[in-house]
Amino acid sequence: MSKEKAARIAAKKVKDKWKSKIWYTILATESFGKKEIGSTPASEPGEIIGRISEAYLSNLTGDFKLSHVKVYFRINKVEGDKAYTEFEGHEINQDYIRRLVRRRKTRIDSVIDVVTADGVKIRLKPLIILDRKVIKNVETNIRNAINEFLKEKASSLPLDQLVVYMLSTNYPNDAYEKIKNIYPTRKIELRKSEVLREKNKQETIEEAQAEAEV
Amino acid sequence: MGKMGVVHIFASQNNTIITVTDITGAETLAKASGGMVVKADRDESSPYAAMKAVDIIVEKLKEKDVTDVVIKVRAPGGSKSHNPGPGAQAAIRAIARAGLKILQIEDVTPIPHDGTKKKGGKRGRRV
Repeated sequence: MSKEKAARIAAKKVKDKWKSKIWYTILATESFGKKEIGSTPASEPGEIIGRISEAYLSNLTGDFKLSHVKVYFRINKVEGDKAYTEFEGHEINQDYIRRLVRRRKTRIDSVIDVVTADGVKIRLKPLIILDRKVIKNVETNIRNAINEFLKEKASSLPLDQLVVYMLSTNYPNDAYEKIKNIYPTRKIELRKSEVLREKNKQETIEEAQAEAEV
Repeated sequence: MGKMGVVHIFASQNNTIITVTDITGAETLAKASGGMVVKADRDESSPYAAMKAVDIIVEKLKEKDVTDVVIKVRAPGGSKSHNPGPGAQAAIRAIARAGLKILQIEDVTPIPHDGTKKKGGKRGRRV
């Protein structure tokens, strides 16, 4: 009997929980025109901070050619039923990369950490495809060139502008100018990017230490 | 406008598990599996079971006012099969039939960048 009763109470609780939840509208960052991405339910506004939502770049810009790019946004502020976000990173569809990489071509990958003009650390993963198999020396030169180019570019732009820049066609066009003297190629992509919020990590460590002391 | 959800379909050779979450993946809106709708263990992965599971899902989603969905299909992946099981296609079809608007279909099978050896030993599984 008591078990049944407990089960019934549990069932009641679950129902109440769902009804008390409010849907918050998630908005993209200002650089994407604060476009509505979607909505997320929660019983308290504090719960949704830190949630990461994804959006296809084609939906954000209206350009259907960019449907292979996914952009991630992290919720950092809630006002009323609106959730504001910050840029978290982006990623290119694996299928899209698979189509570019073929036999007898060179795939050049690189991973670099850069600092933007407003002091945000961001990890960029550029990808370049050459139409021939080339010697390692050329590969290294191209990798160095693109790394230097991205580092320079990042240090001259704040994060919002850098994000817009690297997701637009300006980035491959400018990078092409730097690379074409070493080996000409039109296939220049940014495979992935992730914002490194070390400050947040440091804060959490400090919080944990403070808690441990208490 | 209705709300948007993400339908995660995990289709293996032995079962089909469907979970619907919000766009962030933090809140579950509905879940169902092949095993919930059929009696025999061997039917859990069947297309029919997947269809029935979708029926449960759709009912729950209608309650919660979700009209648009993004579908993410996955197979076991890793060192196991990279091809989704028989339930995947049936589930997608059933979702389309049920009147939910499908915005995008994506394959999210975890593919190792080199991992552990597939089970079965050097000479393979000997049946």
